[in-house]
Amino acid sequence: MITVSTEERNILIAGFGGQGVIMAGNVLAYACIESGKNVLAMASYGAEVRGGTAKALISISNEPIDSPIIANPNTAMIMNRPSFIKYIETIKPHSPVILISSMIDYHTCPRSDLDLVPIDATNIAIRMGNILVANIILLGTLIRKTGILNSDDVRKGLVRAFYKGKKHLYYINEQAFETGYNLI
Amino acid sequence: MTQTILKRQPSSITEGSTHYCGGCGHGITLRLIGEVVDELGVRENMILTSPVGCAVVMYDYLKCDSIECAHGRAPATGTAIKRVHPDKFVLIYQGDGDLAAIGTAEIIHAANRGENLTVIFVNNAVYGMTGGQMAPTTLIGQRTTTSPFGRTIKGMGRPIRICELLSNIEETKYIERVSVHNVRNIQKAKAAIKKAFNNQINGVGFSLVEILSMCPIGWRLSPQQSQKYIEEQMLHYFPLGVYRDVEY
Amino acid sequence: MEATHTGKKVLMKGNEAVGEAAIKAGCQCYFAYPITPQTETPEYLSRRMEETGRIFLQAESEVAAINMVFGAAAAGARAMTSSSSPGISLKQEGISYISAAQLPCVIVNVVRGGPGLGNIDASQADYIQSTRGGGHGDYRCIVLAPNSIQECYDMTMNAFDLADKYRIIVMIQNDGIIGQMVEAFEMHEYIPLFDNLPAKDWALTGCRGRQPNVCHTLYLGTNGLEKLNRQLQEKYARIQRELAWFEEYACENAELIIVAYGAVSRITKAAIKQLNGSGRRVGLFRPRTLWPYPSQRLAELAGKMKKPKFLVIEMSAGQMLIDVQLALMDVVPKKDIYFEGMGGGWYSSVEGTLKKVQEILG
Repeated sequence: MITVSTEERNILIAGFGGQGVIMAGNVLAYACIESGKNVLAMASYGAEVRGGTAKALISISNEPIDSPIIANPNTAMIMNRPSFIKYIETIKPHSPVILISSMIDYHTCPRSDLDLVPIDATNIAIRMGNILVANIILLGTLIRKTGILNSDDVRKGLVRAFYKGKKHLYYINEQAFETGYNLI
Repeated sequence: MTQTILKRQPSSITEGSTHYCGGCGHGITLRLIGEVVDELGVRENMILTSPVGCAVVMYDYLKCDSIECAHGRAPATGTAIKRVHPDKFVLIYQGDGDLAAIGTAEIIHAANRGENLTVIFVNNAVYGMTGGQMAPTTLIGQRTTTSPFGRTIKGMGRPIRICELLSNIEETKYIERVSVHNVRNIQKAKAAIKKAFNNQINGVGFSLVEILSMCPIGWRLSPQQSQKYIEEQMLHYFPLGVYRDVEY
Repeated sequence: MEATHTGKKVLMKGNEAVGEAAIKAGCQCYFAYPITPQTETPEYLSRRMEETGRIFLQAESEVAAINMVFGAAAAGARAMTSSSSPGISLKQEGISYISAAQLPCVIVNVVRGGPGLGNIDASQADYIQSTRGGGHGDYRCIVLAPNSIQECYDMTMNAFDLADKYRIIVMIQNDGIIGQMVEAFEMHEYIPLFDNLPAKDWALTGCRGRQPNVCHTLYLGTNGLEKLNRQLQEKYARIQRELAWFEEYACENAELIIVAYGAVSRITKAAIKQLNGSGRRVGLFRPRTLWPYPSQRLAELAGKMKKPKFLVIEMSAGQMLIDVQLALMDVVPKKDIYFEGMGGGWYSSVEGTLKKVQEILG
């Protein structure tokens, strides 16, 4: 029997539009370039994102990434209830699933073979002064949990992602990353 | 006046005969354009877009760089040529089927973008090249090979008045309807063509001259009857005059 | 995603990489109309063409956009348009005229699911349309099929050069996956494909000091059309002799070669790596030009195999399959050319490919 390789890290990020799904994916992708890893990202587009849900799939590997299609991610970062319901069955067993505890009733998760990591990112972000950095808090936790990337590379990724018109947001996002990174 | 008509052929026009039928208004219009091209000295600096329809081989008659466009698309193709060569004079020549039916979108949007183009729109109320079918400008009651019982408002709509329509677009600069059915009007037509040429040369913007034109073969009339048809029928529905003239 | 300029590699979507390559290759005019999944190209170029002082125009329709390309190309400019399947169908009028007038231009088709409005996911169901002309009359376009963002970038540059060299339309056949995915790539300067390109002495520039140039496609009552068609066919034969791009992976000693292009070739390669890892001798043949099709090389590969077996995988119901069958008709029995097709609406998968290979090889 031929088995599917799990060497690649295939990350699902999902939530409402405006929660920073694409931005979190961008930071990850930039961090990969910094670390010399290969990356392939695919975000939802067109009519798929009208009505509010957004999704990004990011493959990270030391080897060249062949398939752009990820049916079953092995890491997830989920930021709203509809995405939790929609995608929870697609995630591979034993994968870490970082989620916003205030928005997702994770106790009702139909699966017991996932490594759920609930983070109260909304309230932490509000305490930090900007609810919009919840995505980067979760990303910090995801990096710590999985060890897929060196945290210094992610910091460099943040610099790249928050440039030009977004420069003023860099500092708080850097703090958000540190906070999330040190939560577990 | 007589002198102008008898003077020899404009040098920008190829010697020899055209394929236009006797009494057709295209030949007169071609002559007027040739005279204006000569007078303004633009032949070597111009690009002509010829349409699909009777004037399709106009490049055989006017000695300048030219492109034969797809049906109705001359305003789009001409837009691109003018954008690439803003210093060149781009002439758009279209018939009624070309401009007012299949190419309605292209002419409206070229006008709306305020392209610095000169459009000569020959309206003879039929599809001439294909043998006299109903055009968007065919008059009510007019018999054609596809309206054998006469055009009716119900089911076929009214003839489209392009000057009236386009003059509502604020980016147009000069819109006039003229006719070539008699000498007096031919003179006016030439003046209008010249003004539309000068507008582009001076960077004024979108100019269109609609020319009411005879189609004896398509109308099943003699050349003399055709001139009378314009005078007695077309002018009522398509009043001549300046519809828009924005001084710059 | 924004480009980053520190270091050599940058991140972009396929649709954006196409746009940047056009800028680098000196594309002077770009005309387009929005349609998913290619809209990032007009969005990207609306900014970049303005920044570089070139011509960007959002046309009133797909038909107008291609007829603007017709005008710009006739005027001697490097011109491009892009769209996705339903939009490309609309453009076929202009594509036929441009081909008849033998003008160079680049057209990008980010293929989506069809027929009809279909969906906005990836598909390869426009293969026949692209490789057999698409509109009325007997003509061809060169068709390039990238499968990575690097290739989107490189091939777009190549497309302008090929178009100018042969006075032909070059189509870049992408799909919703390649257009939308983000990868790192080297955003190098323009690398010309040829040392010299023919002068555009046919361009419409005003006839000062020369005979008028006339760009026309109507030939009535003479043998002009016969002459044009013979000339076109000679040109196409020449291109077929001179152009055939492909990639081979693990084809040496393969007992089965899978033929796939675009996004499907990536999925196929992932499956082949697993097959090779478990001792299966399976290779990948990826055409990078869909027209001309690299038929000769495919036949050569078949000639080297003891008992040649081929599997064609495409996101269409057997369109490229025809070209593979034609290429192999003298060397491989038809029953040994297997096929796995998807329609608009579903993709190939690594698992599905593994299963199909197991069926074939036992």
